[in-house]
Amino acid sequence: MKPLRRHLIGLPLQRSMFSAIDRAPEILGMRGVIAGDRIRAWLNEEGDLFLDQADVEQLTAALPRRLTPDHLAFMERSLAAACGAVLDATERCARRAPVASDAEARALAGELGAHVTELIPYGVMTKFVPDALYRLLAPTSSDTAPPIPRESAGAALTRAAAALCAECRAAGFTPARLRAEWPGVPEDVAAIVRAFSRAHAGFGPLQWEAPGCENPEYVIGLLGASFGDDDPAATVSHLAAMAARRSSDPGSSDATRPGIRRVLALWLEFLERETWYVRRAFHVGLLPLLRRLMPARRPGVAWPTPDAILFLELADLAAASPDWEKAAARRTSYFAQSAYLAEHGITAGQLTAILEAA
Amino acid sequence: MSEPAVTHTGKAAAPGTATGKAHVVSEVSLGQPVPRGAILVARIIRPHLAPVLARIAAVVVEEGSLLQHATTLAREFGIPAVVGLHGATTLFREGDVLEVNGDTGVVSVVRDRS
Repeated sequence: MKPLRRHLIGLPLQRSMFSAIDRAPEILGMRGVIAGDRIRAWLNEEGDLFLDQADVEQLTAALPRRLTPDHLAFMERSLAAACGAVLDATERCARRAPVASDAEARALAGELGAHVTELIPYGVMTKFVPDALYRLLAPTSSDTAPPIPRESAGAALTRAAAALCAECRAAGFTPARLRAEWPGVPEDVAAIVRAFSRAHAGFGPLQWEAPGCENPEYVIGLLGASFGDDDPAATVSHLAAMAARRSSDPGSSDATRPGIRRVLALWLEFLERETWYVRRAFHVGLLPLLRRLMPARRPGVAWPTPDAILFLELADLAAASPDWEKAAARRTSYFAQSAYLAEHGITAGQLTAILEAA
Repeated sequence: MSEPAVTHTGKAAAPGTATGKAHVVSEVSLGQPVPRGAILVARIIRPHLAPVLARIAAVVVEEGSLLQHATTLAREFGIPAVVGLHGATTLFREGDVLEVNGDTGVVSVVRDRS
């Protein structure tokens, strides 16, 4: 079978949270469609994602027959619960990290990891469930626009980035000047860029260690690519005008399938946030705990390296004495994946920098 | 006589038509302004790249699902989108002039850069 996506996840700790991606039938409430109720979906050692299209087609074909009001309500509840559990656990970890004992830190990390593991199969299912629901709706609706009832996460980020850009420009800092002088900019300017990074932690690539909005330099790069020397107010006006033109609920006249439309809208909202949930869980919730659990360095001894903890797997985090030899082997394999590292912009010292950033 | 346009077909994801120069991006090419009015060609558009859509005329992505980030964002920004165009990032080169039809899913190379 060919991989659906090459070089998707390289970091062993993150890869270990993909262990439940074969559970789509159970999570969708569709037992009995696929033999053993497991689809063939997995990540290999190189981080390539495999997803058996024949299994996907079987599930997709069976979906219309299963969509009773009760089933739709189940799908709605379970997706919302999985998202809520990750968010709650992320905030709990962030709150407790500064005061937690090592034992509590390990327990919290394990709990958050378990919730992320439960959420990730939904991300795999966004490859086919929204399209399948949409196909059910399209023949009965005169309006083929997908039901996106609220501003998407990306549009909200755009408005916030435009506001940040405007604020920096008002202080005399265009994106180009910010880039040239960062971090040697006035403290008030640095403070608003850093505040943006904190508020928007989780916006970035799926790969935890790839640069994202948690990094002020990445934010400055994004401002440069998006606005250049233009007035960002034009972007905000344009988005507002488009939102006004868009119907708030294009399918409201479709009384035959309101349940499907509602569940589809929920999946589409999730689609825009799926990476954010998983990435934010790491940067906001897990990282402060990992910093506490990092192995002590010994002068003159090369291992464990400062980034060693990222080469444990989720189950290892629970152990007071993890298997560092296995972690060392995983680290060697990780840094041998030059195509993965290049594709995601991961530099040699990046893992250590992430762990050491306050 | 002008050369016939080379056309490629994906899925129509957001309505409208636009013509502009291809800007082929990867996740790590942030920093320089995306050319205003460009046709953004990418393997996938994720929400964190949404601000970039403020500058472009249309978007073409390889990712196959009709309902994906590019579809949602293009509709919100009011620009045409074609998705599921396999190999788009290698079919089109930086600077190729592309015509994108978001109603039919057809992307035409109007004039090759060379």
